[in-house]
Amino acid sequence: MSSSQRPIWMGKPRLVTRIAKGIALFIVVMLVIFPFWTIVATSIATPEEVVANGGWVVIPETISFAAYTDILRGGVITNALTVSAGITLVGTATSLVATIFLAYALARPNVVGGRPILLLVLFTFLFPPAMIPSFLVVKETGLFDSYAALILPVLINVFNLVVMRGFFQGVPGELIEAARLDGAGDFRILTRIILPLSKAVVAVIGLFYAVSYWNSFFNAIIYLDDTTKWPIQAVLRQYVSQGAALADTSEATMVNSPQSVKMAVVVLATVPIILVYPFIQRFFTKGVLTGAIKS
Amino acid sequence: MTSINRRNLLRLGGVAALAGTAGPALVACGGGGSAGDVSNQGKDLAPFPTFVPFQGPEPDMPGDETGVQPLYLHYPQDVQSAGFDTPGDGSEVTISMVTYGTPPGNLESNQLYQAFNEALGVTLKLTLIPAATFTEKMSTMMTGNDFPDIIMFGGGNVVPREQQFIQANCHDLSDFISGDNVKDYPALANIPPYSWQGLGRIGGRLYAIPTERPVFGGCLMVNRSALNDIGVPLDWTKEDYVSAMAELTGNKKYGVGMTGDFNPDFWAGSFGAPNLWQVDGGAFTPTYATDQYREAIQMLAKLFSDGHAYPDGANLPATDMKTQFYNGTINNYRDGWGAMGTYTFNMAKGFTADFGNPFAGGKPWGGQGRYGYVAFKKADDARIKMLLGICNYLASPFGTREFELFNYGVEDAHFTRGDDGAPVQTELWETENKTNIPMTYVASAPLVLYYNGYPDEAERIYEWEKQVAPITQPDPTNGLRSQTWTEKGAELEQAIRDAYGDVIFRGADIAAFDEAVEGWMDRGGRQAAEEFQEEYETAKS
Amino acid sequence: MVATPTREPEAPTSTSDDPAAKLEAPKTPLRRRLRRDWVLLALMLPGVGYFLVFHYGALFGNVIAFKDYVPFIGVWDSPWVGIDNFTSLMNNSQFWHAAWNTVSIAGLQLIFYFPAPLALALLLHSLAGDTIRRFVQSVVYLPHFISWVIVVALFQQVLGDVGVLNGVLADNGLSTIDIIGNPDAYRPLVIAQIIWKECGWGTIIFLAALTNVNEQLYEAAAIDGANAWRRFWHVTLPAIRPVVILLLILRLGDILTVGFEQFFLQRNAVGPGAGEVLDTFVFYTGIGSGNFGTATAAGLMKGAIGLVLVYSANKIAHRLGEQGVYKSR
Repeated sequence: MSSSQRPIWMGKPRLVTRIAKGIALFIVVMLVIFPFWTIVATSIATPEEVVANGGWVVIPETISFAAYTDILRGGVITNALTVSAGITLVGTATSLVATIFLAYALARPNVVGGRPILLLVLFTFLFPPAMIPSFLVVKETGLFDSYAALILPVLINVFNLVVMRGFFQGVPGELIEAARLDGAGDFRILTRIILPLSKAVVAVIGLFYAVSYWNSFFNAIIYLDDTTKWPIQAVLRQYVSQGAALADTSEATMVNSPQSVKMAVVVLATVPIILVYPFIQRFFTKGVLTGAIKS
Repeated sequence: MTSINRRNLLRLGGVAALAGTAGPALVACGGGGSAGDVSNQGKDLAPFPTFVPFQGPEPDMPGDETGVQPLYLHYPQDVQSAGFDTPGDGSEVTISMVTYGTPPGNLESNQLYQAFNEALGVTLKLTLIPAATFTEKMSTMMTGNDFPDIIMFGGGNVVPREQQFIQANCHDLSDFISGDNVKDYPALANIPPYSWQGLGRIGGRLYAIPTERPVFGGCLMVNRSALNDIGVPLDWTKEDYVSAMAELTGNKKYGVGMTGDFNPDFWAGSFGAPNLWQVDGGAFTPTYATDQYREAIQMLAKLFSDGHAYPDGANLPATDMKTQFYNGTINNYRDGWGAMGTYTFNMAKGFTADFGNPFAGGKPWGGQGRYGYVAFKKADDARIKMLLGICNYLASPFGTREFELFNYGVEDAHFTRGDDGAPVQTELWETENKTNIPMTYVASAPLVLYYNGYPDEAERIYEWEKQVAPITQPDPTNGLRSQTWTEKGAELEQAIRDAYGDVIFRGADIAAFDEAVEGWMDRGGRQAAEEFQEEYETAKS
Repeated sequence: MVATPTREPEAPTSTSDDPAAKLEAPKTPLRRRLRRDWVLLALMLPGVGYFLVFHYGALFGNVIAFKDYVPFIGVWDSPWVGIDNFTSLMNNSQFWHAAWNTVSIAGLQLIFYFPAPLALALLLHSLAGDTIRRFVQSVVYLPHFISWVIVVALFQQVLGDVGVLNGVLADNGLSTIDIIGNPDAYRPLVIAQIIWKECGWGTIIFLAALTNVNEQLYEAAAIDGANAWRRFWHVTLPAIRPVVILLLILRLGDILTVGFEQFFLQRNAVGPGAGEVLDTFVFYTGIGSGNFGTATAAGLMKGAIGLVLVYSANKIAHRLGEQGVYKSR
């Protein structure tokens, strides 16, 4: 609902229902917020307090941003952030375009080659390529050690593709027919009919791609040699492991990178998504569809 | 990719058992293709490099050939140059190595990097591989045809068919460093024999340079203050230990902490079990079949079931167990030798961290004597000599100017001298340091016993070393090759680990462990023993 | 744009697979269809190109499942071992044990974890108040971004033998619970973990689907006298049924991948008896030993099973009148 008023057709829910829902929601929110609160709190606690409390702090006695300054110092993170931002923006845009095009084409019934291509695509979902053959392909195509290696090899995710196609198929056929009779070609149908009615799914799939690009790091390490091109997650993980260098000898277990640093890494990884998500949320409001009755 | 952090996790102690296996990681011999024959049987064995100790600053207490390290209570006052010429010829040298640190950023503006280049006389091109993904990255690197000039292996990482790869693609260094040839490279001659022997030969030849680590293996990190409080002597017996654990438990504190994938090597050695293998008249038997090992496992199981061990240990990563040690919840746990250092002393608030002595009559298990090693891509003689010169320079011993460069940085830029002459790092070191440009993993000087700012602790550890080094037993398969072991070793070891995990944490009967040992023998252990035996005969030279 | 030859055979509603309608369709010759659909083909090009290059181009690599693969020798030159990789996996009793664990956990995931995001999405959707819904939606997905290492540590901290919960119970004189490290409690534990971590994130896609349900349908139903429950049953559920079925089928294709990191982290705590799943088993016998061939063989087996499941599930969906992922002819 775009307004916070209840529509006329909805009766007022019973009190019992409201209480039950309230309790359920409260539990859900608490289950999520409380651990996250602990993570944030631990990230701003001093190492001594963290150790004394066995690794987790709920209410820090002294606040210290040492973990964050430690990570953000030196410009390495800012560089990696720029890289990740670039990869995410460009990657999400290209992936969305490629996915939308393919999903739309496959959503049109009786399109030539539709079924074989769909099956071809599904097959790759069941048998994903292994690491070394993928690496060889990246090398052969000359993408090695370039930013494109972080985007092109993962351009389309089959799950996203199939879901988007499913939503596109849900657009009422009458609308398409009507547009066709008005003289619209396939491309215009996509831009004028399908996409405006699919804002929710495009937003969702865009979000999925963005998160996937933002979180990628393994491909970066395998396909890149130049560490200045590393995205943010690859760098952040090293902050967690760098304590190990202090005691690398004969099977010594990792020296404890302060727990506060580990928690700060989690927070830093999550902050961007927290910032972006409200914008995506707008698309989840009801009443986006106008017009025709769905059968 | 599904698997993300797995290698990193593996490093958190789980690889401990793996690292004790024969030689540098896992190799299979034979098969088809160009995979060569890496065993040493029936080959002319190139002699290991002669050991020529370097005359550096005088230590407060000397090291010895049992593996005791030279002790320096204070930083040497007479730091001089090692006298090595600039090894490089101005060309580009590519090196791949592991990194635990963060990316060094733009190298052009990195003073440390520029200093390294100048000192070595080359332009370094580094491929830094995060420890967590070492196997995967190395595997992809090996599929191609262009390798770095210097390739680093080891550090607990597994690379498939490592030795076959080296034999096929790396330069045979025997003519350059075997026997007295190594005297051309004084810093490399300074590397103690146990490091070379632990590395071993491939097909009878020498291919690599190790980065030395002391002979010690798994150690027991103890809260010395707590033990002193209840009157437990330094030299203790198994019975002392068990009763101490009982006494220390209570009030939300526990005697010992064992993690789910811990390595019981300290206790096994203390009970007198052989280090992974026992050689009896040439025949190899695994330690798991010995009574002493069984006893050690049973003792640990009883500790756990009696409640004297940290209850959630099985689920705890090793790093979190350390936290429990620092905050006093547990009083001892097993760690690698390298865990002792200024970091530990800093974290142990209000108590003294120390190594526990092995129990009376025990024979502690030694390690492999190295962290990792490097091999060189095949090249002409002049280039190999240059690369050796670079490694020689990097291995400049403790107390030389060159050592300071690679371990503390450039004077005035990365460190200043404190009142006692010891280096004090500057702020620049926080972003430009030896952790994110880890040349010390390529080649480094043999470690010395020096804890900056903790001379008393250093002295105590020296005492400990003097007691433990002579009775430390190395793994007899160090440097020996067995095809079966390299193919199946990891899997077999995991099965054993699961078995004693069941006994210790989940209350299974020791008979379950015996059964697992049987299976271990059947599925490859017996075969491996025979292969080691064959190698052993030829290696005795 | 000139009206291109229309696709008369298209039924206005593309949801049903009506054979009768098909019979009426005149078969348009291939050349005409190519001309008619050239725009669509052009749109498909980037995507199909991607799959051909990066997926099918790499598919050859699966041949290492039949080889003793050594990276530096290369894919082509590594020696053939036929089905040895497969048989050595299957001869290992641990493999079947891990398979059984995997199947059980997968089943539990299907029953409990799959519907959870849907239930939560429906709950959120039924809220009238905008602000509350927005707020809950903004926090409920957060655990998705916490790595498994931390999730496991968190659960341990709360539910462990010396954890918070037991601390509270002990202080109040109640008997303590033994969850962490207890092999018998492992399966419920991992299901609880994945629900906590992923439920919120999973609601997003259902929310998108629920958004697409036409308001006016609700209005019409209400006018007809339907109460909240009937509106839910007769409007909401049928509207999102296609999406749910789609997701279910996709999930089945991937069913034997119950996760890796989550299980790898906790396997040593409960022992292989309860804790070994296919992916961890393959890791220890495969990549952990540098043996990529075995890992690939296992991957092929999982894919084959997924193939069978997807095919069957899709067929069943058709029987129920749904479209499924792909239509049969």
